[in-house]
Amino acid sequence: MGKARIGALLIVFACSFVAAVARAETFSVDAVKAAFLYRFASYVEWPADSPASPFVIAVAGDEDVAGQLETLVPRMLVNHQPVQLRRVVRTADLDGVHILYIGPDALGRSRTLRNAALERPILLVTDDVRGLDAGAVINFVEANRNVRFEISLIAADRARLKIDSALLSVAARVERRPPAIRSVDEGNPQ
Amino acid sequence: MIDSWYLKLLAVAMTGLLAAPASSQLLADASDPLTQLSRMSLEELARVEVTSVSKSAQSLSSAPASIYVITHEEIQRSGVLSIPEALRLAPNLQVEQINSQEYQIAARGFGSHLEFQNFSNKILILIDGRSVYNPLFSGVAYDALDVVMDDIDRIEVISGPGATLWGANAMNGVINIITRKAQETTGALVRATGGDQESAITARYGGEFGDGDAFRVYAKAFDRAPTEIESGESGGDRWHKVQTGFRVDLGDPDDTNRFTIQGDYQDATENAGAFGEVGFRQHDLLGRWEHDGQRADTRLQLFIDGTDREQPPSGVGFSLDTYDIDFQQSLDLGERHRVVWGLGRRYNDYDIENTPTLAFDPEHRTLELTNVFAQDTMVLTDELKLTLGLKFEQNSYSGWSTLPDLRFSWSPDDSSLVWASAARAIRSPTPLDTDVHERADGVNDFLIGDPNFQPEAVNAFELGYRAQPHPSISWSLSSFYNDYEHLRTIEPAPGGFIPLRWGNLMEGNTYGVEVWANWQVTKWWRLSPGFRSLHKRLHFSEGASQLLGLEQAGNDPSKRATLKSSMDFGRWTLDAILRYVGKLPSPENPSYTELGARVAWRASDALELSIVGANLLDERHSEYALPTAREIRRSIYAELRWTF
Repeated sequence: MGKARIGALLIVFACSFVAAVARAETFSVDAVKAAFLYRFASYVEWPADSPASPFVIAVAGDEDVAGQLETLVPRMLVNHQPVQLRRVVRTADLDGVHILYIGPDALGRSRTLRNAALERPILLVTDDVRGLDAGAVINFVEANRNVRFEISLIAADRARLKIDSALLSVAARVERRPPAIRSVDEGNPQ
Repeated sequence: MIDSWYLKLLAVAMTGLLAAPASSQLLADASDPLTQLSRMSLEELARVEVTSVSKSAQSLSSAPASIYVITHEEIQRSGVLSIPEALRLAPNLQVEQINSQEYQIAARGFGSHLEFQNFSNKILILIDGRSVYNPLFSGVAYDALDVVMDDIDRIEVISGPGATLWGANAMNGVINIITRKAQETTGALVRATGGDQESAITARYGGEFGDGDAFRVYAKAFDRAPTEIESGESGGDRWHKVQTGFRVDLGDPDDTNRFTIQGDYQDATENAGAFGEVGFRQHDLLGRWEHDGQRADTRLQLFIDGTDREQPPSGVGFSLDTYDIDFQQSLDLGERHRVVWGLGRRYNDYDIENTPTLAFDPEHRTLELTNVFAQDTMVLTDELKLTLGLKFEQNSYSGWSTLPDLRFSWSPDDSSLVWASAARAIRSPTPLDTDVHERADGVNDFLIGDPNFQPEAVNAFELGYRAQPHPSISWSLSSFYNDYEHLRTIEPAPGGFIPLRWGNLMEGNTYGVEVWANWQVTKWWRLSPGFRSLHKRLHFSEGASQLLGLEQAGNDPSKRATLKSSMDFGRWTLDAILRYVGKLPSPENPSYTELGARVAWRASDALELSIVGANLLDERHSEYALPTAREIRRSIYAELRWTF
């Protein structure tokens, strides 16, 4: 086989490769999560004392989602305000944050950050089966090949956030009443 | 008429485009998935199908090293029954089955040369942080390397030196077998296997207790058929094993303090041809405390491991008890430094049953291994990181060694990483290298150990690139150049020719590439090709006897290629792995191509039925030169996996 024919074969292979890639209409999990984080903003009302501009989406412990948001947010507006992405590590980084997303591997090690977020009007979003138990308002869950989310209205109340019913209707699950409190259950049997 | 209709349409289209406020923006958006996503309604977003390849552990990893992660899913879907078989899934390893009990496994060369008593000894294997490297003869007893396959979370296969973090013998590679936390394995599992070569049963039960605490217990047993000798008769290496164990995890991943206690016990009986039956018993117990502090994360780990092995025909029986304590802390120093430091100490207490032809002096001894290390990962800019590590390690034979590691990584964007590294690692001396007395006639020494045996050492250089150019494609390429010194040779002892004595008079270099990719062809089909090459340029040092030739350093194929295919059809899945292994040079074993496949049907959420075939292309083939090795037969088995 001559070199030219091998070259031709390679080109044919490359073309079919590119074609196959173009057909594969799946999105990355990270891109979908980033899109959700941005879209959530339109369905949540922050209290009046919350800083208005810029609108800050913070990410801890998920560089992949942060990277997607970094590409996305410079082109976007939330309530006519520019959107800013912030990678956070410490409590001090939380000033002015509206949405805090804690990645799946970081939930355990971000206890301090999370506790600080719980005391502020911040929409805490997690990606862990224990997310809502850990105080998150919204928690991502992966179902089949979709990214879904669950919402805790208790956590939303505590953070003084109002959640639009349109967002609730899309949620895979909504937690409405307080979970049984261990000390009451076990400590004071009546 | 057709023309005018066409022109009209064209005019409308042109007008539309021109009228659009930002037509170029529009065109750009069409090809930008992120913008597409951001414009979708919530309902549409919730219905978007995501590819799981983007979360493949390899693309996630920011480790500046040639690392391939065999995932839980990959192990399940390949249907493999043992860890050595699972390691065939890693494109950066070479795995050769020697007989039904033994394997040679290596990264970047230096597999075994069994006839010359060289065992694949430049790779370190750990199960949940417990080293299974045998410090007596150097190498790994693959028949004792076992866990419940379904409980493996992942196997991290790092080709290249890992001495700074993992210590001596992590010379050409490190294999980290990581099992799931007990919280992730609650409920019952029964897996039953039946086939012409294997009957096996595994049962595991796990549950939660207290506030986020969990446990699991398991038992497994199997009977593995013999391989064959050239005439087609049984290789006489049938064996069976019973194994049981447990794991308790106190505290959920969210807790500041977490404790893990795990242990295993196994008892195996192995046919050794005409020598009848031999066996081994092994137990281990590991405790680990992990603490997530405000500024520093701390880990303290202790383990004990005991093995009793009866005398195999070619060697000696021994008992070996290992006690290990390891402390590690990682902390952020300012914004730009992530420091990991630690120290550890290990005792290997052994007792060898000498025979007239193979004896060790002393036959009983306690080896000590002490290490202290620190590693700093410096964030130079958002894109550039520099990792500097240094380990000092002391062993009973050769004293202190210095094991430095320098790594530079550049991540120009989130989907690609370039790394370069330089590191030094050693293979520390063992009783076989220093204390052995081999007496062919049972009286006079023929081969003796060298009390001044030096560690085999490598200075390793690596350049790699890993990228995910598209959500459905990720790939990795690494190239290496390893410079070896003090490789083991056989030399005349001073003052005569016989006895011979181990020496360190070989050196040279190796180079090669490892490349692999993951391609999600369609939603239901994934293809993963892999390739590795290895070239060795070894030579004897000045004054060497040159006995046994350069081949004694290991019998390695220069090429290995794999192609994995993974298909989903609703409740059905079909997986296959095709592997090509090049010729083993000396002793020669011809190249071969083999196929493994598994078809599975998920009858319900609780029940899965599957049929698995291994080495399907040939009735029998050999992976290491005969007659030392045996011929491996085609194998087919059916499995039932029931969770409740």
